[in-house]
Amino acid sequence: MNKILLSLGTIALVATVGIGGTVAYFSDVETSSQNTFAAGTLDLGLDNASNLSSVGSITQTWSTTNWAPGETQSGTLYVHNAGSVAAAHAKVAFNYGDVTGAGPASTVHNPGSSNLGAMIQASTVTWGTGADLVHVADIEGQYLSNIKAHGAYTLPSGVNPTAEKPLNIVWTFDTSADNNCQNRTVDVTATVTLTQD
Amino acid sequence: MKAILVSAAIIGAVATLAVGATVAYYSDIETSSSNTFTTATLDLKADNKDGTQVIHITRANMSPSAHWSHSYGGQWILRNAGSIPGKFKVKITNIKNYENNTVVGVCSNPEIKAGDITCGSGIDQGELGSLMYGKWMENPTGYSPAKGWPGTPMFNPINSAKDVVVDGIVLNPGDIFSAYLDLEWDTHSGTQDNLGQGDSLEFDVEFSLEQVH
Repeated sequence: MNKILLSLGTIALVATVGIGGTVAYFSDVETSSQNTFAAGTLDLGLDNASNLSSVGSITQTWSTTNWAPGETQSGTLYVHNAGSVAAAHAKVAFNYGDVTGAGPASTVHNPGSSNLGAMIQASTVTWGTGADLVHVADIEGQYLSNIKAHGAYTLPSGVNPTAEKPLNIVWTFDTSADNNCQNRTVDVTATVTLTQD
Repeated sequence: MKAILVSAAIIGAVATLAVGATVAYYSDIETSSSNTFTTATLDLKADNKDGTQVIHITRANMSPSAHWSHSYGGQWILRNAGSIPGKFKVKITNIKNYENNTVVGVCSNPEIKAGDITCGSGIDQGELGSLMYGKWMENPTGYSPAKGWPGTPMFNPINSAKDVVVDGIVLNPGDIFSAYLDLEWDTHSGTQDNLGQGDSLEFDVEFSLEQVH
């Protein structure tokens, strides 16, 4: 009985070796290498003039001194997509802190707190240039205090890679401003966001 | 059954992570800061003072005299202490004419002879304001309209100046302007000037500066 079992085991081993020898035909191996997955960039740059090299933030796009009711202040913020990925959306928000300044010198008028933020109107707001220029209806006509309270506004279109779009705003000092607005300063920060989606 | 629940929980967690990753697209934020809007000042000072008290001029014991022989006027120095040009305006207001008789309601003899019949205590009982004239000049030395003062604004009698705005002058920041109100009592015919005996005249002078539009 033992001899029979040993013989069967030997046959099975030989058969296995025989099958292994059957698949060892010719073969070759090659590679597809350097399949690189490089991520793109979305890099926002701001400037107060057309500048396709701009990166980072900017200051004093709209600044004025000695401003009197009825006068305007125009400035253009150029929004540059310095990256390689298109920004489908652009947003802008405006913020400011307390109104500062000594106020009117005369004691005739109430030296109470100023409502300067409610007296500065974004009278004209455009986005883009040439045939692509559009008015930003959501902001145009609004006063700075309301614009601040609103939060971020979505601009009418995004910015393509390596391209820029100008955001032009004409601010008007409302003629209904009273003497409490004299000798005051409001410091405004505009925050621009580009997003891929 | 427990193994199935654990597997389901793992699938749920993976799904959540996948959703989270979906909204994390590229974005970038930059700012335009230090956009300062600083307003101007418009500040008129009369005799280097603000407010309504300014200065009082008082002239006592006045009498009629020949033309240009005596002025009871007053002078104010106006200065634009603000940072923008302003349109200068002046007006005489709140005119009061008192009789000041010893016995209220009883005119003095010279007044009675001159035909005065208003000798009460009211602000419109006196006649001095109808006998004197006022003329705005730059200084008391003569006829010298300057800095665009429109001629030499004159009110004869001074009562007619009530609430009439005189303007036409622009004061630039730092400008100093002298405004002299020549106030004279020229002699009139007959006994007409006696109507003003013992009377007094009071008025306010209001200076203002308005933004040039």
